[in-house]
Amino acid sequence: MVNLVTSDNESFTVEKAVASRSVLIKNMLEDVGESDQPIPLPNVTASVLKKVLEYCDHHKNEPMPTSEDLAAEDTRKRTTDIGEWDQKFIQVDQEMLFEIILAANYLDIKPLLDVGCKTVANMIKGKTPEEIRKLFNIVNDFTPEEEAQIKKENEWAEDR
Amino acid sequence: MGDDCLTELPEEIVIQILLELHVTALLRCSAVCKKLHSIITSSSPIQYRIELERLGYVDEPRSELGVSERLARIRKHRRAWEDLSWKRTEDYSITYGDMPSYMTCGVLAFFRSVPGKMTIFKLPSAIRGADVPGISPIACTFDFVIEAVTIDPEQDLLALLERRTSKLTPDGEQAQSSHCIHIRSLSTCKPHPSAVAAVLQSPIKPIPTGEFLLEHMGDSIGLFSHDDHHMATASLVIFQWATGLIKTCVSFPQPNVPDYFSFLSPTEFLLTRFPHGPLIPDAHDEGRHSPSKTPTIEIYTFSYDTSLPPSGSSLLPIHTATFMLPAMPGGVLVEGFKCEADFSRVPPTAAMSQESRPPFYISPENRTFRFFFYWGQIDDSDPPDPAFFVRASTLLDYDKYRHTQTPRVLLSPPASPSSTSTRISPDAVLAGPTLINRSGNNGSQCVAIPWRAWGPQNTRLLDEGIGLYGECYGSKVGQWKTMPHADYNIIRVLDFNPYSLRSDQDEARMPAEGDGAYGGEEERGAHDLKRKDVDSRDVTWTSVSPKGCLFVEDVHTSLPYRETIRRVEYDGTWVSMDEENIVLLHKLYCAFRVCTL
Repeated sequence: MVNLVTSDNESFTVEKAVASRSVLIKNMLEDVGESDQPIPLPNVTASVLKKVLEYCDHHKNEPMPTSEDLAAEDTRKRTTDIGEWDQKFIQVDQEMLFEIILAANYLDIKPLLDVGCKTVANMIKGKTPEEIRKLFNIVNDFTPEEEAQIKKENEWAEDR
Repeated sequence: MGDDCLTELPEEIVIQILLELHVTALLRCSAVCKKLHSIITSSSPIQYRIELERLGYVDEPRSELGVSERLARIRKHRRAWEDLSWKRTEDYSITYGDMPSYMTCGVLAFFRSVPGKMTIFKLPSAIRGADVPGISPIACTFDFVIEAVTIDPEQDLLALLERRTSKLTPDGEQAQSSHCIHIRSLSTCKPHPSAVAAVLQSPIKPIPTGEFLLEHMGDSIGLFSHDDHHMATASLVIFQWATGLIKTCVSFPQPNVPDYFSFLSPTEFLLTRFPHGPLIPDAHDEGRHSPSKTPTIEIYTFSYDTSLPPSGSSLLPIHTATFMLPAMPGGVLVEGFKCEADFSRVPPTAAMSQESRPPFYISPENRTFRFFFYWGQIDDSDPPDPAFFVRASTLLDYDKYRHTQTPRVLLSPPASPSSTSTRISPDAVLAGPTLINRSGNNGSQCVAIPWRAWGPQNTRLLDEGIGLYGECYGSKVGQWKTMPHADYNIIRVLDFNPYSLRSDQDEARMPAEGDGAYGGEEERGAHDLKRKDVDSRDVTWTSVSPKGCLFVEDVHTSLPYRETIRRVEYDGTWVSMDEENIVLLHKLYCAFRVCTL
């Protein structure tokens, strides 16, 4: 078992196989060897880690992606869909979604990062710039002239 | 974390998210705010993705180039095509009679049937990193007569169909030799090192003379043949060329055999079919009152499963869809209805050659098929031979019509529940009336797509027919145009890739109502080119082929394309292209010019 401590000082005890889905933790465990020392995760809060561990627990028996797999993945078509369980898992509010993405990035859980990024991309698909701004609460910092210029440059890619 | 979650993420994560998007959504993101705009415009992987989608290309993952070099090459490549700005031209001579030419993926080949001879030029290629001027041909001779050729530089493949010669055996009988496909290495002309058998024997009963089509895609080679006599028989064999295993083998009984064959994907092919009249015309009718005829483009899927015996039912292709063209009056005699398309034929994952690979390929979906009607124009008073243009993506997308079509009246009991499509019997010739002629309307689940449902939006009909004088390559079609009263001639490139449209055209160039796509073209070309060497425009209006001439009703087509024309001082007759060379064949067939973009 591995003991993880979050930024808000909550501690989680999980199976090694679960914690090792995180390449960061896996490497730490390999470095320190057998030890009961708790592992501090100063960038992750308890609510997020709970969610991330839920993901790790569900996927604990799957083979870890090898570096060749990852290299191959970059070049494959992006249309690989999100699995059914993952899709349900990632149905969270936007703030949690971005927290999960950040945590997956920090903890180095590539498949979870992929699920997060694909989910955000799916939210963007089919939306106009104005709708995207509204969705993510982004302020339009272009002048009307700049915006018109960009729209003109991008016209070739619209409605084909 | 602030309210502004997306833009607060680390840049590499934002890039990863953006790389999940297709080009339209991606560019919309660039109009959201300055930060996203700056990430999108400054990230090489994103810019490279945009360029790939814009050109309809796919990345070759195993190229050793870095992403910024790929980006630089693809940008240069796109711009060169946009204004047909070649950086140099070189002239070469060929032996008269070395015809026809074959050009694909950096290789230009001429072949001569008798005696069997290939002359192969490796063209300069900047995107392959082999941009050396001055090309010298490799000439090879063969001890057989060449009937047809297909070439794949990516697999170092040269496949040659040997013309069947009937020899008299000592006891006076005709020897029945089957059709042979020789699998050679393109670089050495010797038997291909990856091929188990140097010669593939077709199991189909040989025909002495006829038309033969050899085409390959990926690991498949297809041989389509029909005889000379009113196309009484036709057959198709698809081999896996490296192993010699047969993937598909089918004969087509008369009447109404297919005219042409082409691969659509590694598991799909198309056949074109024009309903031919009876072999002996009715003397009282002369065909004038015969019912109208509908040419069709038929889509078949095939597969190969090594676990099944070679003669099993897996050899039968499955007819999955029929695209109907506009009906033609019964009196029109169409001599042929054929398609052509070219592209790099191997998906990146299948390439085997050790030759330097290009960092990107034309995607198979981004091909333009040209469907010719040869209906026999004799002089200017006859309507010209028309050509249809269709994108491969349209033909590959047949499934989307499956649920939108109106229910058809079933003429016979529906197929058993387990069978969703019609299998074609290879014994069709022997079995008398079989599925093959009527597949698609005898109760099978093959989807029949009426012209109105797909055609007007997804095709372009140009009344130029064989006058196009050029080849297709990827989404592009080249055309040679001789200008009789000028001191220059014109090459024209039509690009049916929708992203090639620029929307920056001068609206005033649009022809007047009813002018058709090419009405007044010659005048326009001549007029505009007095001022500049290169001109281009988007063609987005609707072409109309009026009722009565070739079709029983008005035919409207509106597939948009980008047209670029350039004046050249060369006495050419034909235009061929690959990714970055435009080859002009001299009108005396004794020379050619390579224009390297």
